[in-house]
Amino acid sequence: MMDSTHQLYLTLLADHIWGRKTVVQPDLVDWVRLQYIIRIQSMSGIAYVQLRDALSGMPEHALFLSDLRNRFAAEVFYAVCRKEDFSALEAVLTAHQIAFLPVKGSVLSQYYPVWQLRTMGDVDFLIHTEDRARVDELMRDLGYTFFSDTEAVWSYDRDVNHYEIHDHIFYEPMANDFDYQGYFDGAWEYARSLPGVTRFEVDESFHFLYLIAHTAKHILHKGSGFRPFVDMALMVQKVGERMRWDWITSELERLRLLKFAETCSALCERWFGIGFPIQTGKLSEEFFECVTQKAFLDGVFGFQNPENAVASSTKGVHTVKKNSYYASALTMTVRHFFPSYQNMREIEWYSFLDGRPWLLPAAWIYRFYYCLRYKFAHSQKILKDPYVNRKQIEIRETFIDNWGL
Amino acid sequence: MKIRNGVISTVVCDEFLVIATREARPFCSSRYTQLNSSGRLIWESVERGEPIEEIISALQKRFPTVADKIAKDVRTFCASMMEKGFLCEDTNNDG
Repeated sequence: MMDSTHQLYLTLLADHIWGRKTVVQPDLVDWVRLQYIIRIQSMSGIAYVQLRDALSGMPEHALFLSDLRNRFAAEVFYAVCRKEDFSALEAVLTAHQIAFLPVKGSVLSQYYPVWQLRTMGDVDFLIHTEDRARVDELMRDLGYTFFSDTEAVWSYDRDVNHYEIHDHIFYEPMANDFDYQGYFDGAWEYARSLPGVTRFEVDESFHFLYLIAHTAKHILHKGSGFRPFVDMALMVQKVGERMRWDWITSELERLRLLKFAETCSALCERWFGIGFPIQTGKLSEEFFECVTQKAFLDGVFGFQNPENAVASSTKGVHTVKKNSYYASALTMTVRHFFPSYQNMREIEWYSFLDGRPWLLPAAWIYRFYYCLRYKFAHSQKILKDPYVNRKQIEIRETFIDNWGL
Repeated sequence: MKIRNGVISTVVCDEFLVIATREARPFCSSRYTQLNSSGRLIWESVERGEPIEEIISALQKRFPTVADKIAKDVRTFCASMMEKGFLCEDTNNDG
């Protein structure tokens, strides 16, 4: 059963979504725990505006409120700076005729009652692969520091602003063989051009599919807090009427995410009173409690929850899924020793494999000796994990099954 | 006295914030500050380009019961915002 502290947290989110005042019964709330939850869920700004009136006359909560107020101000500061910086960057990209398509947080913030209170670590946008070198040169000329390079995302920092520039918006495999990267590479086909700028605007229905797939990726990985579900609820509330739900439903089925989306809908309905206009699955009370408790522990992306230690092994076992647990575990062990060509070439330092699959055995041997020499303890843990943590992995796998993944 | 280039104000959920964007940051001792209703009143007058004496007399007319306290408070507020870097001397204004 949810306690009063958890209940208040969910109530204040639902009230913010619906534009209601939040009524508080202070004696029933564990304020220290609430403060921790609000912080790890990255919802301080929303919590402040919802609790400000109720707590302002209570000296015993002055410190709590003051902490929230400071965090609220910080969120507004980052949001204002981000918007200003992005507008300036838009002008430069437009001047250089570089098409770009914002996705995720900066787009979703538009659906929030107060856009400044949708927290995000960075601004994500998609560009065409052929523009990568030009964009990199421009970003460096503008004084942004380039700080990481993976196959599909380049990250840049300047002052308090962070950008993730992608030429693919989905690049991690999920627990099935569907080509999500290929599907979401179609983003440009669902983008509308805007007058006077080279910024494109993503079609809401397509963006919703992406939001569902992205959330599924997090659930399969370590987990997720409430923020993506608030995003979904607000999206449905604000632009749901112009979204093409028949198309969304059929595409979700194609993406093998319909059951998962039905679960998300049922959760949004229970947590915030907004479901999606698709057929919604029935949640068992036990699963609802389990998901809710985990979302509280997970923080925004599941990094806060120590119970997520077996997440990676669970994902592996879930992906290979054989008739018996040990058959799955064994298959996973073999894959650890001999990763596929597809997976190997995604890793930066094995990118020499790209287009040269015959070099794969050499890469396996190199990797084996490298792990033995430099990552022995870590590699040993990964290999042993499915055998020594079977019970935890099985529990977690059932949990993922219940999500519809 | 004027608002430094790159310093902007914004109202979010009835909270008034003064923010130093990247351009102003090197000159400001903090990234942002929140102002109460009195601070907001003064700040908005500065935004309209009103000189400090005009701000004081307008506020004294508006709040006659605390008129003698207003001059000191407005000067203290402006000095503090100058010290923090959000306000600066208006070099184009002889007055």
